[in-house]
Formats: sequence, structure tokens, C-alpha cells
Amino acid sequence: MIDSAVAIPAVETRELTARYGERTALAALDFRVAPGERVALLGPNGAGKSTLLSILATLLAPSAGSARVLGIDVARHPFAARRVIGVVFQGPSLDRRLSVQENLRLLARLYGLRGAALARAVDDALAGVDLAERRRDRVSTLSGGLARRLEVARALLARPQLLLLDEPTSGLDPAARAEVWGAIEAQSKEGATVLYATHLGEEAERAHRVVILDQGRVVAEGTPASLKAGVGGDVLVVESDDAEWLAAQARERFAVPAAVVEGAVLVERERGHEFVPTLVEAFPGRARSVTLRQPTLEDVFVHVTGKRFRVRGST
Amino acid sequence: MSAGFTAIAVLWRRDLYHFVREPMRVVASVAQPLLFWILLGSGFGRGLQTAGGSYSLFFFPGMVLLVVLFACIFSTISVIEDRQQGFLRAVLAAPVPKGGVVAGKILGSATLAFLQGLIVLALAGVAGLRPGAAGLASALVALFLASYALAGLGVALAWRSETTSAFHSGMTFLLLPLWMLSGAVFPSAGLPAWLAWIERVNPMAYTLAWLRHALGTSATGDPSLVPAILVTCAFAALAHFLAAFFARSPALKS
Repeated sequence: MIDSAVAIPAVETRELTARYGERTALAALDFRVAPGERVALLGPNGAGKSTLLSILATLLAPSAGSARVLGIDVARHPFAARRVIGVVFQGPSLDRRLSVQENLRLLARLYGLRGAALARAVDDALAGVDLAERRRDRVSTLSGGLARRLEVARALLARPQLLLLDEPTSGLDPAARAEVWGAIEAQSKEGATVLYATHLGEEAERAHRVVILDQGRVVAEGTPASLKAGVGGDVLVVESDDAEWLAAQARERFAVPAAVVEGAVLVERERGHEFVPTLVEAFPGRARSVTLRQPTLEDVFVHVTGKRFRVRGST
Repeated sequence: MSAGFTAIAVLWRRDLYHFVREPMRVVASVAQPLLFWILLGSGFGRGLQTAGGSYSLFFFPGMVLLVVLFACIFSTISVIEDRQQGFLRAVLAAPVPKGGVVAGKILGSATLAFLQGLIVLALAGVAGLRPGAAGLASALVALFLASYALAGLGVALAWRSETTSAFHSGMTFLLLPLWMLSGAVFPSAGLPAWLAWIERVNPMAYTLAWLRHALGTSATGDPSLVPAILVTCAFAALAHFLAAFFARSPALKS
């Protein structure tokens, strides 16, 4: 890992605050990304992920505090900042009536590229996401995964040092997700810093470091492994006709964290396999099914925010 | 500065490119003015005579303006489409000034409207007008400034409109009365006092007067040429700044 104390951070925010009227989207956020790092912002909708990325992309002005990308203050020098970042937005941002290469050429011109340099940038971007063969096709004819890869190619045009991606694979099937991630990870391996937002634990697993956001605050951060290690052992998912009652009973009798999430009882427990028979025998006929699994990063979110998972009961 | 011009050039070219790629739009843009002229001009022409001559001659400059007006409404809708497609976001995240993006969108729409107006203007000879070279040149400038002004208003409103239907009704509500009260449909002379007043503060009346001067169809009661030119220029500039001002706030989310 690069020594972030010496190198200029790829991203650095200080007391970064964003408000939409009454609602606070970012609450005095202090946050850093080292050059070359691949960092996931994990959190539910409304956690402040998109707001943070929009500010870094210079599309939204912060209400207070500051944000820098590669040492450039995004509010004071948005132009300079835009030259070093590439953005993949949550939704599509392509001209569907133009062809693949027309889209890239048009944007490359806006980045000041001309002539041979422009042609090379377009070729490289297409090669980077493996789309060269479709260059003459209209964007409206591309599948969801291909269109998304083109978005990544567009973000790569000006060879940005920092890639910002907001839910880069939203709405894609697993195969298309893998395609898009292949393109992103290839860039990351070549040294680009990657900061991406996701609400999916499995997608956050692809990062070197995960930053968990809730209500505009960082509630946990670390490598995926260290974060998951912080959860108390295994996770038992118990399906029951009376989930609320079962969760309350489990907390009372065994003093374990248990809460109802989407109709099922989730129980955190070390040596979970040993607890399965205990639990089933304690409440005969109450459990329709019991699943034992390793904690995911989504469990980490539930664990650290206390939301849903530890709504009531255990301390 | 040069980044601003790049944005203007790129977005302007894109608007024209989209236009020529849609055969239906090209056909409609040629057919619509022709239809207007044939139906309105000849229909009214039979029943009405004005002091200066036939009604179809009187109505001709107003018809050119009406074609430009509708063309601007349709072409500036692209601002909303660009936003809904998300394309606008990618452009705004690029290292180009927003002023260039706004000017590029106005210029693209204005050019399309200007070209459609030009098609009608080309019929001036058929209509029986003989403006001469100087008059024609003057008419072209007036036509372009009118296109720019109306496209500017369109971009300003589109930037703040959530849906194309809201935008469409807003533009029609705003612009059609201005056109009707510009002296395009009936001569200014002999209007009731309150209508005359509206005409006096209506910038479109001055643009129309300029067109009439250029084409040699001035009617009594029209503003004279110098104020007509000045007000039209001011109208275009004002529309530009209005669009730039409205675009200062982030575009509405799609």
C-alpha cells in the first residue's frame, strides 16, 4: 500500500457537509482515499454516497467544509478537478442516438482532445472495456452490460487518475456485472484510484477498503475481511411464521443479538453451527428453516449501525 | 475561453447531426411552413385586404416568425431530453464552462429554427415580395436574431422544466400570445389603446417590424427600423442571459 502520509491523497474531505433543505446528506465528513486505492462506499439509499460523489465530481456545491481530489479543491477549482477525474453516473449518461465511437469522440473533444490524440484516446478507451468491435453501433442497440461498459470507457477517455463510480452495475444481471467489474478492475490494476458507491455487500467485497456510510457519517471502515471479523461470528437466518416472537425469545433466553429483517430472524453467534440444534430444540416447530452463513458486509452495516439487526434488545 | 468555444461547437454540431439523422424531422420542418403559408396565407388573403396591399403579403413576415417560434419550441425540448437521458450530466462534468454548454444549446436550436425560417423566406419571391439584396441581408440578420432570442427563452424554460409536456405548454402559453399581439396577424394602426400598449412593450413586435422593413411590407403604426433593430438585439441578449442565469442552478434531476 502506498504511504498516504507522504503522497497527496487522491481524495480528501474535511468536515464536508451537504444539506438539502432540512435534510443533512453529509455530516462533517472526514474521509481519505490514498492514490491507487480501490475504495467502496457502502450504505443504504440516502446514506450520502451519491451526494459525496456528486461533490467530488464538481456537480454539487458543498454546504460547508472542503473536498480535494489529488490536492485540488473541487469547489474552488472545478475545472482543474474535472481534468483529473472520470465519472460513471448512477444512471445512463450517453447519447443513445449516436454510435459508440461518436459518443466517445464528442466527449473527448470536450476534454480538449484533438486529431491523433483524440483518435488514440477513443481507441484506448474502447480497448480498455473490450468494446472495439461495437464501435459503429448505435448506443440504443447495446445491451445493458455493454452500455454500462461504454459509460466506463467514457469515464476513461481523458486518462483520469481518479475514477468515481456511482452504483456502476445497478440494474445489471450477474454476467453483465462481471463484465463491468472486469473493466473497472483492469483500470485499478493499472494504477488508477477507484472510489465507488454501492448498496450491495458483495460488490463492496471487491474493494481494498470499505467505508460504511449511514446518514452522512462514516460508521465503520476497514478491509472487507477485518470488517466482517468484527461481526460476532456466524449469522443464522431463521424463517418462522412468528418471527417477532422468536427473535424476542432468542434474545431473552440466549442473550444473543437477534432481529427481524425482511420477515426472517437474524441471529449473530460465534460457533454458529453449535447453536443451530440448540435454537431449533428450544423452540420446537417454530422454525421453518435455518440457514447458517458467514457474515457479509451487509451484516457489518447492520452490526455497526444497530439498525434493524439490533433494533431492540441486546447491547 | 477556448474550452467554452469547444463546448459551443460540439453541442451545436450535435444538434444539427441529430436533425439530419431524423428524416421525419427534416420532412416536417420543410412541409410545415409550406402548409402554413398555403392554408393561412391564401385562406385569409381572400377575405381580408389591408391598407398596404393583400393580406397574404401583410401576413408573410408574421408567418416566418411563427415558423421560427414553433421550431424553437420543438428544438429546445432537446435540453429536457438530454437531461432525461443523462447526457447533460456527462457534459456538465466535463472541463468546459457551463456558459459554453448553454450557448451551444441555444445556438444549435437557433440554427435549426433559422434554417426553417429560411425555407419560408425563400418563398418571398413566390409571395410577390421583392426585397432586394440589402433587404434580404437585413431580413436574414433579423431572422437569426429572432431565432436566437426564442431559442434562448426555450433553453431557459427547458432548463427548469421537469417534463416535456410542462415545457411545451409553458412555451406555447408564453410565446403564442406574444406573437399574436406583435402585429403579425392584424395591423397595429387603429388598435384599442390597451392592445397598442402591449404591442409597444412586446419585443416580438419590434422583431416583426424589422422583418417588415427588410422585406418592404411595413405597415402604418409599425415601429421604425432603428428601435426595431435595437430592441431585437436586446431581446436576443436578454434571452441569452436569462438562459445562462437559469442554468446556474443544477439542472433538475431526471
